[in-house]
Amino acid sequence: MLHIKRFLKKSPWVLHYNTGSCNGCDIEILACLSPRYDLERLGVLNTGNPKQADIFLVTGPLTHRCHDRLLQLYSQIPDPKVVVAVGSCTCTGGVFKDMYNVNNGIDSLIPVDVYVPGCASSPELIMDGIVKALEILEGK
Amino acid sequence: MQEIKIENLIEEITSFYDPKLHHFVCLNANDLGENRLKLQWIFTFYNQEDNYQIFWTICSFDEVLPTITKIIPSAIMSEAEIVDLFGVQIKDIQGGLYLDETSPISPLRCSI
Amino acid sequence: MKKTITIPLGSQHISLLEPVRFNFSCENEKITDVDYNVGFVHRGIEKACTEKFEYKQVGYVVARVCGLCAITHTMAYTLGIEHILNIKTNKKIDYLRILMLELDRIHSHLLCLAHTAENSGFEGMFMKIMGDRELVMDIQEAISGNRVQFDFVCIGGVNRDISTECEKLAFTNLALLDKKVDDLIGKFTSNWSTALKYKNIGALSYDDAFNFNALGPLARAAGAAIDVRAESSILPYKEVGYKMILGQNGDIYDRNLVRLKEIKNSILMCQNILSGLTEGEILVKFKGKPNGESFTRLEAPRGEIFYYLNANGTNMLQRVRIKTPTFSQIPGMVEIFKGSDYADAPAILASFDPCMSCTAK
Ligand code: SF4
Repeated sequence: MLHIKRFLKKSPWVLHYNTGSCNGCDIEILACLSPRYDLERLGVLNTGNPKQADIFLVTGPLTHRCHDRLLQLYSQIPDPKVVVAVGSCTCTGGVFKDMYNVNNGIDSLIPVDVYVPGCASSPELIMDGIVKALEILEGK
Repeated sequence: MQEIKIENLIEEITSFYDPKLHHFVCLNANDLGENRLKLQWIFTFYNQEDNYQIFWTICSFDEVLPTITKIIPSAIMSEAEIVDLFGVQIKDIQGGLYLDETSPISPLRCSI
Repeated sequence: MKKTITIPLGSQHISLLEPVRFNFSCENEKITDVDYNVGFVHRGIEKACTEKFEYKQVGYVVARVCGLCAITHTMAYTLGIEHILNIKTNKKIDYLRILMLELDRIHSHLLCLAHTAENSGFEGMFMKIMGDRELVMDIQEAISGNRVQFDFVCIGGVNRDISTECEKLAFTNLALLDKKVDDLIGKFTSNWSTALKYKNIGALSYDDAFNFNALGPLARAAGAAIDVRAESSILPYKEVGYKMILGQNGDIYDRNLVRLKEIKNSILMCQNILSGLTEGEILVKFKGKPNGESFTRLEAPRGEIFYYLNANGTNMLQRVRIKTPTFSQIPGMVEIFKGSDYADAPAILASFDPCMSCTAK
């Protein structure tokens, strides 16, 4: 029998979606993939296809128009999957809390496994979040 | 600053605007309350320091405003924005640039 | 008979950092029409600035309109409110502000170039440029304490002074980066996959640049001398060695080169500022509440940014209007797309360096 779980941990692919963030955390995610921080040494690869992804990196406070798209993407990722909310505004709404077009954080719609705080979250924090996500992924 | 009448808008802007000399910044709206809306068409001059030309007018929310996209194509964004956020009517411009069914209607308008 | 098919790009796509949706109508390989949907990230910041936050806080809120040009937003707002409150800042504050604006421009342009390289399928180049970019990020972190959202500028001055260690670090990193940019200019002029294949792709003509109100590198690559830094005297750009950089053809190749040369110019400006900094206060005291209106323009990495402020003598502002560069350029972008090959669409899009969180606010 193939021990999928053992191998899954060695090469988790991430899908990144922006639900109304200010780009600050998005460019820090890109910086994570760059040589200085080098997320790829953990086997992480950035993918554009939800069907190949294991970790879902979400930024932004969830605007009304992104609502359905986020749900679609989430349901297209095969199980087991982990959701990482990057940035204060993704966790609770942050500065955008109670503005008229936002939903105060993505956990109002999908279950979140790891919350990464900071405005903007530093690459070190995002890496920590992904390592934590790997532990959770193993247990799922 | 130059006040204009809403009927003369197209003529005024056509006679003023030269794409090589003037830069259209944006169309700005400001709700003054009591069904009065202040509109400002803001232009600057290329290669001149801090020189603005502003056409302004005060209109009500029931009027249908003319569009200047025939003269300045990039004005379509500013116009679509104020249609969405203030709920004014502009000829041939549809809403829906920013807002969906779940969003509030004309959020930047004063409540009175 | 030609058949028209519609191909969507977005809202989630590997080559996009932000959600934006384009619907391309194509005949064979050619794009004939483009439909856009840019409102995915509309949050309602303009309203919150007038109802939730006081005028002293708004500077930090508008920084969250866009993380890439955060400092430009805060800066434009601060200059506007200082104009209303009649605050005069000293030379040192002005220079420190220009320093951060230019550092921000360097990192934003590098990110855009990295993206262009990635979209042309050159993954190694993406990594290399992102690695070089960390040199600027280090300076920014040393000066302001944060990598992306600096919150460096406040009403009446700046929040932190610059220490001698920072200065030393900035000098070494900028000198290093200067050499690397020279190297990049070589790669972006002679390499096939990043440069030569993009000649005459996605071109904007000189006349169209004016007709469609193009801004920033998009206009300057087409040879149109449009730059707020040359048209405004709010910040003393002329004293620190600013030079207008123009291209000729307005294609992707020229846009990349304009960006690279602007980085070199910005590095020069930063070095001039750092070597000419004097001692002095970094914060000017002020009293009173704002009353009046102001119009402010400033050059962000992508073009002109415009703030209209209206205050009525209370702690709350009456109206904040934000106009950002990508917002007014979208009709121009659509025009460029028409007639190009569909296969080039992601590369053209990356070379515009669009910023959707700016557009939708
Ligand atoms: S947490 Fe802050 S920096 Fe990150 S996306 Fe949200 S507003 Fe931007």
